[in-house]
Amino acid sequence: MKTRITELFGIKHPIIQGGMHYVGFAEMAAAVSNAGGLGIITGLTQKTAADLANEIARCKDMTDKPFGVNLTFLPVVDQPDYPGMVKAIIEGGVKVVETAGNNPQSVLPFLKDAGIKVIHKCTAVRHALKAQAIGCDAVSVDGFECGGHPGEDDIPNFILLPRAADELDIPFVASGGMADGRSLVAALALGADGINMGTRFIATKEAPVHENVKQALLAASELDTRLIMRPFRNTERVLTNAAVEQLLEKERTLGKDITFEDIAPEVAGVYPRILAEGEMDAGAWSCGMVAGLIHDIPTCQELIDRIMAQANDIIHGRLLKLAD
Amino acid sequence: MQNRITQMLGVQYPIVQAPMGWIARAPLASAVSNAGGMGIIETSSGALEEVRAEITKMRTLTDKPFGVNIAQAFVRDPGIVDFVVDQGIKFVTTSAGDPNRYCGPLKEAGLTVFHVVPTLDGALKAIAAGVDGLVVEGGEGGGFKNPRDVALMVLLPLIRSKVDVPIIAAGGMVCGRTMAAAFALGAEGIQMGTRMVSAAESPVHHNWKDAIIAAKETDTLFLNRHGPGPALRVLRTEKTTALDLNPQGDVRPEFANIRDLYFGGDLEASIALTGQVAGRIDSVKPVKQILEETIAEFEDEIARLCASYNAR
Repeated sequence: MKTRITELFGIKHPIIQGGMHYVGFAEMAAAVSNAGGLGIITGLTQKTAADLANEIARCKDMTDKPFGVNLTFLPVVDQPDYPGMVKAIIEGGVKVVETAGNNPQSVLPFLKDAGIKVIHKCTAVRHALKAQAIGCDAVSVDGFECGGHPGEDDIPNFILLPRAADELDIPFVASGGMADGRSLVAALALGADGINMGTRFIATKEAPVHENVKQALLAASELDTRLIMRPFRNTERVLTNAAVEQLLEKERTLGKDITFEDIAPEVAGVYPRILAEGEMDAGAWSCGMVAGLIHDIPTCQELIDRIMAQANDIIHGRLLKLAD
Repeated sequence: MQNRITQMLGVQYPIVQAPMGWIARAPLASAVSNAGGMGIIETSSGALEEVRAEITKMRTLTDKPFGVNIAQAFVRDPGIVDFVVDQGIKFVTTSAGDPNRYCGPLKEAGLTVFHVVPTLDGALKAIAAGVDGLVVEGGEGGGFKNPRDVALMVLLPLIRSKVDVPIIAAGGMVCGRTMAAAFALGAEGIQMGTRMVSAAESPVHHNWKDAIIAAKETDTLFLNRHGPGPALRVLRTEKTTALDLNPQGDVRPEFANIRDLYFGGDLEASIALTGQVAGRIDSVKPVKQILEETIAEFEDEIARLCASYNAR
């Protein structure tokens, strides 16, 4: 399937595996890229720029297809070594960077000069327009369904995608709630040029996470995600567990007096314990509402092939019949 | 266009008008039915005598099929079944309650029954109760809500994969593109609420229609997600902003003055139940135009998808 996104990134299918903390290692990105999508290495999961350079080199050993690196710009005082990471990306010959978080303007000229395509993650139409204005090549429009940080506007994709389509000139992918060929066709109908999947790619054979994590996704229903850190205006959609419910109880009882120290036990440094060690109650980890739609653990190739086959059947079968 | 929904409901278009309390009365519902969709008369106002008169009026305004919604949380009178059967109604949607309560008697009387569901669990209970179809409502929609809101993008395909009955998608529905997306996810019909509130034939005060037209997609609030009291999706006003910041428990007393808002145009008098789709509505249009544009855009969108995207 050709779309503006496949053309822009030089990929076979309009499917991107968005950056995910402690999931987006070289194994994940290579598996998705080898299957015809765009795999993405998560920059900040690597401790240093040298580690990122090494991860990029490992990915290149596993695939000759295009892949990307996610760079998330955090609103923290002790900034990660962004210049070093940008250098590692450029020197590593990476073709695509997915930026997220704060405005990526500071690194954009360096990436563009190196011929790298930039896709920025946005949770609001006004942010997407800003990304377009500063020169991003594409945006990922993240609806309220999405795992991780859905922003504070709470606009699901049935509303957000057509709004984005009406306003944007640059291509965009739909992110949040994307699981199968049905979601791909729905996203295309609402004006997107492809899809971004996060949670769905965690439940694949190649995803380099503990088996307990994959089983937790299979067991989850559509009602099992929660929104945490809303009082900090840093909302994160996570899978519920004992730690998350404890965190939410603190948010309820402490109200406006809550500080980050109060919730640190449930959020600080928990990702490796959960995703690598499989300690499922160690804390909060990002998970989309789409977990309710995940019922198996295919390979990335099987997953992408069946999404494309199903999308084709829906468009040229079921929908075409109705319009005749 | 023919599918299970048009056949079961006997309508030209698989588009249903949502049963907004006080608003889904004869002028609006007859306009929808006459335009080829399914007009619905509400009961959630609880004003059954008025509703009876509205149904009588419908007979003079349209010879097309129309339905009645039984909002179970608001209609406690079990005589409601005889009431709709006596009126010769053929299509009923039930909502806000146990689907077992009225499904049996309504089906025995030969009616087609759809139940409104916000979760997979709710859908499976309705199927067990024997309903003919489901109205699957995402968290996008306006009005009284399940506090654990699920977006239609996830809810529709999830329920579709577990049930065989036809599904009408509700929440966010406003145009042919949303209809095509809902159909891609497995719906066979769509229900429009806020789009119908802001239709030319809608009886509400123009202040509310103007507010819907002015609203951005960020101009609704989801009240009481963590309780207390029922959850609601509402238009952002001074009153609802205050209720959002300081939840007041049961908000139902706020609805005592609802007619001052709906028909008097005082947006601070009560709570205007409004979906997020308000951000995609930019003019008041006659119902017939809304339906015809939706169907035309739906067909255009499918043609565009077929022409643009070949996966092989």
